[in-house]
Amino acid sequence: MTEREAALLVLNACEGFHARHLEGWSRRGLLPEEVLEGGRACWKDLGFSEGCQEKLEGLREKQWGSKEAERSSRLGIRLVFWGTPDYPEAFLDLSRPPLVLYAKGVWPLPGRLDGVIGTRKCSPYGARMAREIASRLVQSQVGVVSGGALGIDGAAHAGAIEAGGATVAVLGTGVNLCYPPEHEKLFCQIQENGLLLSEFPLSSPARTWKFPQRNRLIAGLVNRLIVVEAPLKSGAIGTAKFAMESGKDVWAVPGRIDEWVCGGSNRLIWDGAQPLVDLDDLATLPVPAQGELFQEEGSPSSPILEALRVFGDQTVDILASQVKMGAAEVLAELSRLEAFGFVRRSLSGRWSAALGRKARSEDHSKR
Amino acid sequence: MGPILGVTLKGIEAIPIDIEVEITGGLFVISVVGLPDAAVREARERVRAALRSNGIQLRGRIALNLAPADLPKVGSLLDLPMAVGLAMESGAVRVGETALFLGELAMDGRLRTTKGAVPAALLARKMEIPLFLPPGNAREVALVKGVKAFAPPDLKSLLAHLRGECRIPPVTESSAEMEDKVIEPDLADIKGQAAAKRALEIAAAGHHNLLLMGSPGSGKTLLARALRGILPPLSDEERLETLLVKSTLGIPAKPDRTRPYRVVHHTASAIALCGGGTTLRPGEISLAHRGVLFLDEFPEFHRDLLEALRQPLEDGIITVSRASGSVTYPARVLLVCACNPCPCGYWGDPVEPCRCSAHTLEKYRNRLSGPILDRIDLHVSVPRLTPEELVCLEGRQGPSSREIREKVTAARKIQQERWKAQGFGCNAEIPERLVRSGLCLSRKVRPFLMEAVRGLRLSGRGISRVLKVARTIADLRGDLEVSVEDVCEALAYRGGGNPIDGA
Repeated sequence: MTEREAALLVLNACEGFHARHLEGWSRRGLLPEEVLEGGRACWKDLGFSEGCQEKLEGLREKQWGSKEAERSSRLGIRLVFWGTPDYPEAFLDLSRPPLVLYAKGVWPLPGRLDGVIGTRKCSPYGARMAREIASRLVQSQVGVVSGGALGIDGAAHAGAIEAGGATVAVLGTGVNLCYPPEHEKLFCQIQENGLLLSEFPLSSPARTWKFPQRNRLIAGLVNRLIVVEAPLKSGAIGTAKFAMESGKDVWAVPGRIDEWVCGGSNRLIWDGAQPLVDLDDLATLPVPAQGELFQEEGSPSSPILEALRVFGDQTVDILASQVKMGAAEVLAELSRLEAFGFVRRSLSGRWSAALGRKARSEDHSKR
Repeated sequence: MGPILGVTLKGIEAIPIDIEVEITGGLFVISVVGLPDAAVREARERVRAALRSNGIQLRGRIALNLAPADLPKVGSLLDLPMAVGLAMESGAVRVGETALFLGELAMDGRLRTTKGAVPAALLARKMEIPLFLPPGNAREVALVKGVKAFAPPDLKSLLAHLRGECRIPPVTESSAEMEDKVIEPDLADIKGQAAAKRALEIAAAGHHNLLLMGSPGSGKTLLARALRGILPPLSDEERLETLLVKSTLGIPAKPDRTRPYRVVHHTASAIALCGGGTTLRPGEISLAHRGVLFLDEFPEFHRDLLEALRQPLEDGIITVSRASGSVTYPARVLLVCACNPCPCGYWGDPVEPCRCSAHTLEKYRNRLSGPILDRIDLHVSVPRLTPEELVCLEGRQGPSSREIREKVTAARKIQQERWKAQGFGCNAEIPERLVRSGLCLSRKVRPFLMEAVRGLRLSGRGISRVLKVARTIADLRGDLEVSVEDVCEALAYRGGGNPIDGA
């Protein structure tokens, strides 16, 4: 447990901080642990609200960060920090990347993931479809991602588990809680072959605002999002919007037009989502390859790359002082990383971590 | 060939001029033939007065012929040989062995400093004859080895010497050493910019051309000025070359080994930069020979001017052709260019927003991506540090200019040893054919480069530039073999094919 990790845990627990804040601080030459140690003067300078300052102070005094880490390890929960090579590349593109991920289960999940989501109050037809779609996905070697709610989410997980595949539940509570309680058994099954994932601290209770926030993670993880049944105003439609905005493929299962639960999913089709009219299409229709969730080849472990991932664009001077290397070595390392697509440079003399290696090879093929 | 020779300059070369004098009876008149220019023609008045003040009265009809007759003679450096010729013809002195005379005369017979002393000294050395020159030129000629030179203070002592009455001591050779002074600004005093400093070090070591790109206030000009303090000292050969150019312009030579450093403003004319003019004089690029030519605000330079630099950058010489003839000047410069990343200067700056439109950016980019950039080995971005970042770097001091210059000098020595047989002085001069064979690449470099080429989209010319820079980096380490690390670092300075590419 390093100081930085503890700091990230505390900041994460304060709600509202995300990785873009860290980048802003780093431009002012501040590391997260320094911000935490900075105390009220520093926090006020950075424009933190009064409530937030109080909370930070409280957590800091309790040494909450290291305690949380201890609890997690006792519960067998893996902590994935922003700026480490483990951190899913898919989340780097988000506008508010989470600082910490709590993961319970099998890490990392290999290969591609598709999302299967929908309403809690689904029709029996919807539940059947979710189950069927999930198992078809698993059969074609694709993992399933969904929330942890009743209805479509639960059916999708169940379908994936039945087919013997991996499934990821992205939760709006702490990963050690079981919400809704009816899903206790399901969550246990998910962990055996898949993963429970959350950005919220342990034992965070369910709150309505947390679920829409969680939805962006689902949208970030998937290659393709399949909305089974969702009313006009629902979290699933929000997730679909996130996914569309980040250029992911969105599919929807057509429903009866006079049924309330299908209002949103049908509207998605009108808005340009791909209607799923045949289950076989799931496997046969081409899906554009998008950023792989978990880095298969593994990016090289380099302190420079890590520093860039945490702090955004940097000059050689600052990098050299952070990683305690000479400028020549830093430059050599940077261009080696650049040659393999892990970092980018700007004309203004700053370097940053590349968002995804895929991006470059794609534009390569266009030329 | 008569015993009395003068010289006239053609480019940086001295051409021997035979002075022939005939005095016949008649009314007093002096006529000079052999295409003299106004300065040469007016010499007769100076010569007459100088001779008279030494007690030699000219009488009769005097004809002076400057051979070869069809070569134009330029400047006041023929005063002295004409005076000696007249003195001999009128019987005041006898010149036994052939000698070269050079100098402008004052009315009272003193010798005034002229240009062209170093070319004349080289000519005298080649012809193995003594050289007589003004005392003011003695210092530069003393740096030329193996020439028998005399520097009489006036015509009187010269005539006495020629008569054998009293000998003038020959000019003693001096091999001035570089004064070990620190040239401001010292690199240690510049905060941050470690990447740019490293690039300066490499540029100085391998004589690689350098582009500094950065926002206003990032320190480009300061860095370029600091380059002066880390350049290796001139070798004997190189110093002679720089002396030659300076001497043809009459610029007094400093007796040290500091490399030239010329800053050119973007309003300079092509003639000022490349040389030429009615009397054919070397331009800034030749004055910066073996040293630095700094073009600040590089994109502001007129396109024609930059195009004119292309060929000399490639060949290291510039040939100026005019109606009056064509001459070749040396022009092996270390080109340093500085520019902003965009017209307003703040493109990519973390604090100040850029106000440039896409159109102006495009125009600017086109101006930048000229063929000149292709001849620049090191491209460096100089980021403007935010106040916070500056504070962060407080207390971290890099090596001083003196330390870096020692490293650079050692690296340059290695290069001179390596390329001695081929006749090059530094890595930047290596031609394409040797890049492939003569660089001693480690066995791992080639596969790595193959991979990198694919990822970075390097061109053929780009690869050889990278390899040359990598060679210099290895030399700075003192290693015989270019390692993958060296190539990696060199890649960081490669610059994109398209400089504005990638945010």
